[in-house]
Amino acid sequence: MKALGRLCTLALALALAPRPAGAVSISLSPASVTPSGSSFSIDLVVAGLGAAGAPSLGAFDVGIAFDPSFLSFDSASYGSQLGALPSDAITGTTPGAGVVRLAEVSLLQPAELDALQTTDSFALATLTFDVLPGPITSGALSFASPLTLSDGLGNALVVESARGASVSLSPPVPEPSGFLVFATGVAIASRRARRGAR
Amino acid sequence: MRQPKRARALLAAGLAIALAGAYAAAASAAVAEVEPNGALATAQAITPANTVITAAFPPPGGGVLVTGSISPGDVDYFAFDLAADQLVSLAVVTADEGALSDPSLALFDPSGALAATDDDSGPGFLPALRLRVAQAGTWKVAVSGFGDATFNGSSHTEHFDYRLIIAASPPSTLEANPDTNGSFANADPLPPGSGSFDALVPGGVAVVTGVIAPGDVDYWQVPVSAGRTLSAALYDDDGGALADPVLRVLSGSSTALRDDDDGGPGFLSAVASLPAPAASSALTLAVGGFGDANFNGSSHDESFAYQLVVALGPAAGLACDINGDKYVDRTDIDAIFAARGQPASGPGDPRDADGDGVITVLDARACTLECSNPSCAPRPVGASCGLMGPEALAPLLWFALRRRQRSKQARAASFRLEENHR
Repeated sequence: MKALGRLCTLALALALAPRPAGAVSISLSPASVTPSGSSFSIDLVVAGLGAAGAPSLGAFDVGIAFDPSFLSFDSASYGSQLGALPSDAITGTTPGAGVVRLAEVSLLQPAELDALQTTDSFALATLTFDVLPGPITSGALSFASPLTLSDGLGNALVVESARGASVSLSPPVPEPSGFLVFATGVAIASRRARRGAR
Repeated sequence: MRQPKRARALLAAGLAIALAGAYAAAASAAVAEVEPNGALATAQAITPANTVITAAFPPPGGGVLVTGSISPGDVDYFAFDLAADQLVSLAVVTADEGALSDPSLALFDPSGALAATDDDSGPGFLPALRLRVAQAGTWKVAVSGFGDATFNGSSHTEHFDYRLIIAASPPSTLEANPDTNGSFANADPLPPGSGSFDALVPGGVAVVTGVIAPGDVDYWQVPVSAGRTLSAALYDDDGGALADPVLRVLSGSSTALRDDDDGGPGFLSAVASLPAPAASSALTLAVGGFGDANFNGSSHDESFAYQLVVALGPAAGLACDINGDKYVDRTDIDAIFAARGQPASGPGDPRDADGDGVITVLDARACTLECSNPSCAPRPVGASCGLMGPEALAPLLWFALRRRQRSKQARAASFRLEENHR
């Protein structure tokens, strides 16, 4: 029983442990999309950068995969955190079968980027997808190769996590939280252990 | 459990072979910079412990080529062992031959005290220095950018890729005495032997010691394939204070590609990052004395001993200058950005700024730092001619003057017609 308690404490400590400082992550926001019409938009977001300081983001080249029988890529519009378009940055959107590649390089100097990126998290681009008519009613958007982020000096930033998003035509059924499931499991195990002891 | 003798012997032999293989692999190419190396205490070791550089890279080598990169606020330290009374020569070369990049160089003795420093003694803004060291031990060299007087990287904004040439003497390859290399046709091979430069000189640097007497000239043939760059420097014992050599680089067809008189420290000669012409397999270096314009030894009375240090680098060309206009701007960044995902065409591909063999958005971003104008704006058209703008109105002025002249002529004709009528 004591061992089980220690295991629970360890699991809780690991779950609550903070991310290492300077870890860069990339995600699609919101993580769950329920389109109300025939199309929807989703943001490509970077986090974990320096706020008004290094590391700032100087460039990115990211692939986003989707189910082409459910979704169709429509367009992408880029943010202004890497510089005003088209004078201070170059962008490139390459749609393919089931994957779209978004890339941008800033033409600003590192100090200018530091001054421009005042928060450690911001949207790089907004993507718009069309939902195709058919039997499929849900799917996912996930990150695909390449997944390259550059700091202001052209050095690669290590991406600690890349979280995609789910797309569903009907609102998702609410699920119990992970902790609730875990606690229930622990309670059942504890009860069985007590019965066994008797 | 005690192992049988034979098994232990086999194990020892295997271990020895593995260690020898590992060392051979380590010594088979130029050394690449590894960060962090930004302080004396964290200097990157170039030679194995207690092994002087000329033993680690023996003749026909005698030195080592180190490749690295400097960004604003960055400084790179390297450590290597020297014996007492050795002559060490240091040079930093860049792809632009010091036209835009401005590196600086410092040498620290085994106690960590600054022994020598240099800014612009090499070609262009490139540094070079030569020192006879009194003390044996681990010496350290720092590469930084102009303005960083204390070599801590704190006060410079330079950004460049570089090759640091470290060479020492003795021992080095010696010129035959008496020599027979007084003409292009009779050039001695450097390094001696047959094979590629990289195979013959694992460290990437060859050093030869020679002597020039009045009326003498020495020719050395270096195997250089097309797409490679040659850096060569002459040194003597007193840093070029008295001896005044001249250096010529010739193509395989004996065409003079470059002459230099005082491109190195003092009166010494040096050439940095000279590209080998297409379809070339060798370049020839001629060493003579000041006044010998034809490199036939006929017209100089110089007398000196020299060390010729030769290193080969990747292809020439200003990194990131894709269209070859000697100017990095948005056009070049566009070209790199469009090529992302493609493999580099070779070690000298200007699109592959980080040299990893693949063109990526990282290369595009790194190259934006090489842009000459804010936001990588293109070079203003006509800026090099001094045009300020009003000059563009000159054709209009010509048209105006011509119209006025025609008008005058018409009025004069009309006046003459009226006079005739009267």
